[in-house]
Amino acid sequence: MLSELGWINDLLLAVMALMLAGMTLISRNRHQAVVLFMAFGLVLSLAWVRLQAPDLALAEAAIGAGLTGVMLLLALNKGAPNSTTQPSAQPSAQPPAKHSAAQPKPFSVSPMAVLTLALLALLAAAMISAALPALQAASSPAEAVSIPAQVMAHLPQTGVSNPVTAVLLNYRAYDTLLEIAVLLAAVLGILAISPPLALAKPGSVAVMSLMRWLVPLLVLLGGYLLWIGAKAPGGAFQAGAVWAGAASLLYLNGALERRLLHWSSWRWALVAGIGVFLISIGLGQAMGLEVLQWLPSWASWQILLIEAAATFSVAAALSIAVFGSLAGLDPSGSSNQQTSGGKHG
Amino acid sequence: MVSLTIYASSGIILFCLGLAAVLLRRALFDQLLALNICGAGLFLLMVTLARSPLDNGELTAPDPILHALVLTGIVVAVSATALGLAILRGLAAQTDGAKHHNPQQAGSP
Repeated sequence: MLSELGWINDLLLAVMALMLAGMTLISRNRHQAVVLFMAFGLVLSLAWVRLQAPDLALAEAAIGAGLTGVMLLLALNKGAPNSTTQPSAQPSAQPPAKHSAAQPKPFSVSPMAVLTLALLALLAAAMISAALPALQAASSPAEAVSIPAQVMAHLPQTGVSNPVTAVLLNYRAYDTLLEIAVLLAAVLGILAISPPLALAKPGSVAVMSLMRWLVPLLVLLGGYLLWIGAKAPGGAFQAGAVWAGAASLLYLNGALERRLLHWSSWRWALVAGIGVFLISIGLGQAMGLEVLQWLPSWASWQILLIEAAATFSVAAALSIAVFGSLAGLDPSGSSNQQTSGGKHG
Repeated sequence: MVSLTIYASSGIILFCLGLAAVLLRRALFDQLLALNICGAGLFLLMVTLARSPLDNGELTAPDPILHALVLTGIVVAVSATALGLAILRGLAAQTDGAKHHNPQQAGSP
């Protein structure tokens, strides 16, 4: 893939990514900044493809560009999908020339700022000159590729044939366990401090009829990504992100069932991932294995089970992250933005 | 080889751009966005380092451990962003409440 003239592709992608990131950071209109950030995420996922990281490309496009962008846009609308409440403390779409006296300038322009930029440019130059020799490393091929060679050598015993899945759920299963726990912790934090959920008005006819076939297709796609993760790029996180995308689509168009708008409907999904993981560890220990050791004969089914449970967990957690809260509905049915961190639900 | 240099340099520059924005922007929302860009730059650097150098002109397989670490990083970054946005929303709600009681206080970003 990195053919003779392929570096032109890479140069164009890198320049686009840098320009998009720069425009995102300098932009004074927050909506524009978020949309530019989503474009940056998509360009980055193309870069992952060029760097032979298709798992990461899937994850970045779904999670980094898609779900993060939706989350940020919803946060700009004060959490209500079709909100008509005016933005108060955060200036969103007002041009800065019209700001009132109380709003500070978005940038601090001062000698300190210039010094900071100069130091960061120096840091960038130092890091680049330090990183470049690492890319030309490999004095002898054996010592340069020792770890990946070990990973590939023991791949048949891991139960899967996709090396990234093998690393995630076998070699470094501890990291994945803690990653799912971190996701759960973030969701608990969100549930604890969020006001009640805001209802969305139903979408237009075009969107609703699009959703009628798109949502089942997304569910199928997520299931496929989960199943194929053992052999090809895919896996629990990508599948969970696709399912979360489907749930967000339903939520934003007011098509989620009412009882799904309370956190009590989601709690089993939220704990499924870490629960199945811990039960697997417990069963392994009861059979005399070490912690996080999978028997090679069972490993593929065990990994599939853990991945399936993790997909539900990741989908639930990312959906709640997009919704912004799931603390139940206000009895009056309207979004209650004035209470500070209401303890509902 | 040129490609790897391009990607590694742009990853580092992305990180520094994001860090500059975190230090120089005043609003929390913009700083959160800049932190995401910092993370993206770091991921780009890590995935570039995962590509082992061309071995006799053939492409060797990339290092899967760094890929798994970056995948974990992407998921943790989105959950941290979600929690950060929830905190921002709570702060804004509290600030709204304060402004209604005390009109002299400016809304703090």
